[in-house]
Amino acid sequence: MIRYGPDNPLLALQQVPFNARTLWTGALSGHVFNALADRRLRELGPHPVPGDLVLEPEPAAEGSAGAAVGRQRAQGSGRSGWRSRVRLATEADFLPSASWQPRLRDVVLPMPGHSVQLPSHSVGTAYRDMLADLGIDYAASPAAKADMAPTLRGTYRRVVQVPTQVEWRWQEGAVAEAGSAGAPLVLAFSLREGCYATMALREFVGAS
Amino acid sequence: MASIGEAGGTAPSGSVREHPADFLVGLQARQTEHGSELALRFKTEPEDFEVVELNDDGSSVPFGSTPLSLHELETARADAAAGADANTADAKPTAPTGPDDWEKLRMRDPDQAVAHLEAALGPRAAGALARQAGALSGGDVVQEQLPDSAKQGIARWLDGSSPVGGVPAAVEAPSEKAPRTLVYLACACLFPHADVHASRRGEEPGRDAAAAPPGTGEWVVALREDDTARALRQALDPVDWVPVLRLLRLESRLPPAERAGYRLKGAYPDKQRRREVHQALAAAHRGLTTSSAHGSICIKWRPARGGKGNRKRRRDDAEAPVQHVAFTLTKRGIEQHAALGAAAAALHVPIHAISMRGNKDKCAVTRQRCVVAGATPRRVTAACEQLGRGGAVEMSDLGPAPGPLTIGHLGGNRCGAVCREAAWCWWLRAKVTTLPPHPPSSRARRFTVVLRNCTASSAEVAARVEALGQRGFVNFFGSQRVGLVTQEPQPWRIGAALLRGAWQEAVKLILTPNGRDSPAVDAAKAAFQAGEPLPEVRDMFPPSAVRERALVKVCVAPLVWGMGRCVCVCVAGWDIQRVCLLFLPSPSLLVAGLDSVRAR
Repeated sequence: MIRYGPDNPLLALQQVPFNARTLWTGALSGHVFNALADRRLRELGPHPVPGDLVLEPEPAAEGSAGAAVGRQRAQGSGRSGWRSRVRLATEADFLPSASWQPRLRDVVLPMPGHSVQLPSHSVGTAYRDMLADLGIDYAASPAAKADMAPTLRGTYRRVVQVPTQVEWRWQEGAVAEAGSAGAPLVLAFSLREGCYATMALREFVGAS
Repeated sequence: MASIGEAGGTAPSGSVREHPADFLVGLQARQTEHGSELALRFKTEPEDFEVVELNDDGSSVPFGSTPLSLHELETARADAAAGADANTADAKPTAPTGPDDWEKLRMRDPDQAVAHLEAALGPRAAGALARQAGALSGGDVVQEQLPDSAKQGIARWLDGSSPVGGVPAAVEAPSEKAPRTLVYLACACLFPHADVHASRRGEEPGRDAAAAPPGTGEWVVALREDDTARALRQALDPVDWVPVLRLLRLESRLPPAERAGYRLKGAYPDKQRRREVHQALAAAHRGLTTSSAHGSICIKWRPARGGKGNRKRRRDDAEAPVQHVAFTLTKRGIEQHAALGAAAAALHVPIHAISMRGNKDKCAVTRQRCVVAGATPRRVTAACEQLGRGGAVEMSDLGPAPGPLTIGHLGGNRCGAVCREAAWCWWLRAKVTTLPPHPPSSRARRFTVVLRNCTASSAEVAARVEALGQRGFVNFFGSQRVGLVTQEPQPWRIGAALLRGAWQEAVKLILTPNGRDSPAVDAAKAAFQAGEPLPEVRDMFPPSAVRERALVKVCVAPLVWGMGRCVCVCVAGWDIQRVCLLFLPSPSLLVAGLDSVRAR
């Protein structure tokens, strides 16, 4: 700032490494997603509803859709195909005759960007309102023009993740029925990349 | 925040209550209509959470093993380079297998030849070479591990008693390959401008046969001055010959910043002879620059940046393959970028020269593999020593790397957590635990948490585990990414200001104390908010505050005085008062400068 003066904050900000600036914009994306996920579950409940964005399973893939996504991402390809499998859930998807009925774990929400679909229910409206309140237009962000932030196309993130290989045991030497004495409990689980163990612990400890 | 784990599968109806800021990162407290309250303290201290990166094969990144020495590292690097050459380059030769091959390779690429030799001889011989190099700078020629005949021959050659000028010196070499190559290597290293040739006795080239040392040894290593050395010896005074040889041998292998100069001690009154010395030195090494003053000649190395020689060097560097060195980066309680900044500063490389496979938590003890491009093994070793052990940033376990790392290409992370004072139906205390590596085919992360003093029954635990495994959890981003609710300003507000183009607001938010940083950083930010002069604010930030320091970076060029005129170069400050503050420490310079300008 001394070099460029207080009237050139852009030049001062450009002295900050690009990776650090990306962390801040990533924090905003995470904040928007958290707010949308919280609203989605509070207003519409823990079941998929028409108007949700759902991720269709890969037609020829074995295992879960998430595993297919993981394999595609691991292979560095198929991202566009993954995006193409995101669509709006309709009433027909919930008919008993539907070939595939979405579950809550198939519901995704948009991460902010200029090229994402939005849910057609109140959460989509909340997304627009939230960005409008923040004064952000991803399609015409001055940050991208000034090379201050990456051009965010946007992506999707599952609302619910299911941990796999959840195991527990009392630690060696502990009494199996440890209602009174403090017994060490070993809890182990696996999470897909990008998931937070703190959130899984939160669910585990906080659920009644 | 919402939870999906409530009984009946409905969203919780209780109000969200923010927990007091008595933990750094972790779970949000929640109060439900039943009055239950979660008060779990998680990651209160960096030591409570340990993250160890896993390689693609599921193994943990190395840590705690004995670090490779500099020569071992160079040896391993040479092996890796030899392996890469064998796989990729048809035109490049494979590792030399005999003295003649050594000779050819040494003539073409001395450093590569030395690396190959060290790889062939092992760390013990490499250590001997280091001692020889050190002994040379101290005047003692060759110590142990060399045959006496070799010692005598080298000593004769070095002190000038051996005939020179077209007649080569030679030393008898042992018949065993390993010690013979050691003799060869010693000669090649000690005499940078000598043609070194190893051959069987009786099979020497004609002109070398006359100089073959007496004895019955099967092998002979012959030394012949090349044209450069011959011109240099003829131009230099004898008293300067050995010091200049040492300069060329030792200094040329150091990084430019570590090179020192030398003033010739001989008398060179004749201008023509001084010219010959200048020309010979310039021909001996392109990095040398010479100057004359009052009849004496001073040798210096060209600076690392700028100048004609460096432009040429940069071209050479662009053509040369970039050297990569891998190391394990351990950080404790600091952000990823700050840790990389500290490592980059110690390595003397820009921060983008360090590649990694992913960001790690701030409030944790994390251990990950990194690769630095463009740093010499010597520099990396020095950086390890500079950062030390047990600090916020630590580098260890150096090793060769074929190339930079890319984000996401890791086998996973092994995590261990300590949960403190989780009071609801549990009271938890946990410690870091270990677990077997996850199958490398999966890209999932495996977590293990030990909850101590758990007061729940097995049935309740089983029910919770089953619920977690069936219903899952809300895939919120953790506060590591979005910041704590209690933190103000939250990082996402900075991101919003950036995307909105509100640069001034973004600067103010970045430089606002948030209570999560260290006291020194918060104090510096408070000083900024109070309007303290920016140079002082910059100095208040610790070196680990890379972003903040970069933001308030001060570039105050010095006042340049010379020959009755002054060139005052300064930068625009925060305002005119702060510019004046810059000059307060040196008012006399300011007055003199103004007088000079007025007089002119």
